[in-house]
Amino acid sequence: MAVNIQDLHPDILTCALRRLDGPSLAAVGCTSSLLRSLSSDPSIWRDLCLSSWPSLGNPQLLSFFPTSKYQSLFSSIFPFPCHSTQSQSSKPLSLTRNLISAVDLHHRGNLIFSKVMEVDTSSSWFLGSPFGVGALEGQSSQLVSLIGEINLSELSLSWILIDPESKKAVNISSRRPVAIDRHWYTGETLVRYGMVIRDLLISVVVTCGEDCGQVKEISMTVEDEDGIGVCGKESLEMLMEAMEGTRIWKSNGEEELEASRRYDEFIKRRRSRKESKARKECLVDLCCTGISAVVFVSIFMLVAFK
Amino acid sequence: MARSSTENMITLMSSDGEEFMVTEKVARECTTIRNMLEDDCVITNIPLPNVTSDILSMVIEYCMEHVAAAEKAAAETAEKGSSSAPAAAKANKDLEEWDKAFMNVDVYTLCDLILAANYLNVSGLLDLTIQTAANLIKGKSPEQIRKTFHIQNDLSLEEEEKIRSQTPWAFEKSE
Repeated sequence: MAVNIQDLHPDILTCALRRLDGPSLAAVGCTSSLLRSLSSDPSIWRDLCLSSWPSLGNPQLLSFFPTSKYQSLFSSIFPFPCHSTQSQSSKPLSLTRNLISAVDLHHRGNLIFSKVMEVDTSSSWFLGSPFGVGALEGQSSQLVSLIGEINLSELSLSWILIDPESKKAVNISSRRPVAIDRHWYTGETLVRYGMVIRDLLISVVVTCGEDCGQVKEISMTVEDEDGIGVCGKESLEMLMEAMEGTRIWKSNGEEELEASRRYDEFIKRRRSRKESKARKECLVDLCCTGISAVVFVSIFMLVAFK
Repeated sequence: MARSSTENMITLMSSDGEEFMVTEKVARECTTIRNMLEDDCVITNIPLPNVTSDILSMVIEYCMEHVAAAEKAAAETAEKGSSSAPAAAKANKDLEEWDKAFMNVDVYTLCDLILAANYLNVSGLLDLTIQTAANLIKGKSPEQIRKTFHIQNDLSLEEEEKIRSQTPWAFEKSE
């Protein structure tokens, strides 16, 4: 009689399940009750989370999430947040007093940087000034050297935001860069990751030194369509809604392409807004000049023919 | 070590009574057999009641290929004094290609091979077959996985709905 995959020893099946990625593991759990019980083993999900995002191995974060929570944690940080997130409940969100960032930078699957930092978000100074979090904060001792051949387009970044009170999380990086620009003056290369949520752009920039041999800074900001930094309160509201909102995932990295497309559209919108603003200003200028010319001529005529 | 490297032949007998003559070196690739040989030096005939002849012949084919590759690498190292990296990389790649071609089997054979590799404790083959099974699952929808592995769905509609609702993002595409 032929052997079916389900006749194999559970240990062997578990061994195979441990080699799967998250979406496949979720899919295989839907096929039968045996595979369901094997694939919902919390330790598989825990190991998957810790190997995908080494920063989650931080002792403080480990204490946040009991092993049974890793499947839902994976579901909140692996897929992208929905771009059109709306607050589902009408009651206002209570803003978190702290925000934890867990950052991982990989190159071709090799980890090159991993850090966890906490920001106090309760101060009026934070709520009022433009939102921004830096992972290196100019500490020269923490400069990350990129060794060997580095292809900047293959740097993949994950930036997980965790609300320590509700234990909710969201990943706001587009995983793959949406743009790579060279700064004309400093010669630094800026690798950008972007996520457009509602009308705001969450932008994470990895700044590499002139010869691309060093990561000088990794920082996150939130900008509106005019390119102006959004204040802490509004940014925090949007981020917390994103944590609550639905998630999207598409196979074959299509969601990464979509994030990149949304970024391009956002930049295009920003440019056209800038142009129409400039045009309006030009028109106002012209009107003012015209009116003042008429006024001048009429006064001149009045004086001349009196 | 109980024996010198002179070519001792060992007979492996499959569950359906077929006999396979292999060198001791090849047989030692199976940890289960190696343990038997180390326990009892004079053994020459080993019955394997859990493995059919067609699966046993495949396991032997795998072991022979890997023993030959290891011998070739060792000979090259001895000849040149040190192993040259590009040659070793090429040999590794060739062996990987061979493994890949070897794994071009149907799922029933694959499951039989996993069972045999586990029973005979051939770590390389067990790793290869499990990885192949994992690769067959990757990127598929639950329906496709069931079809690939001939899995009977014993979940009720409500149960399946409940499981899907735990990771809704993973199934959005099939809607």
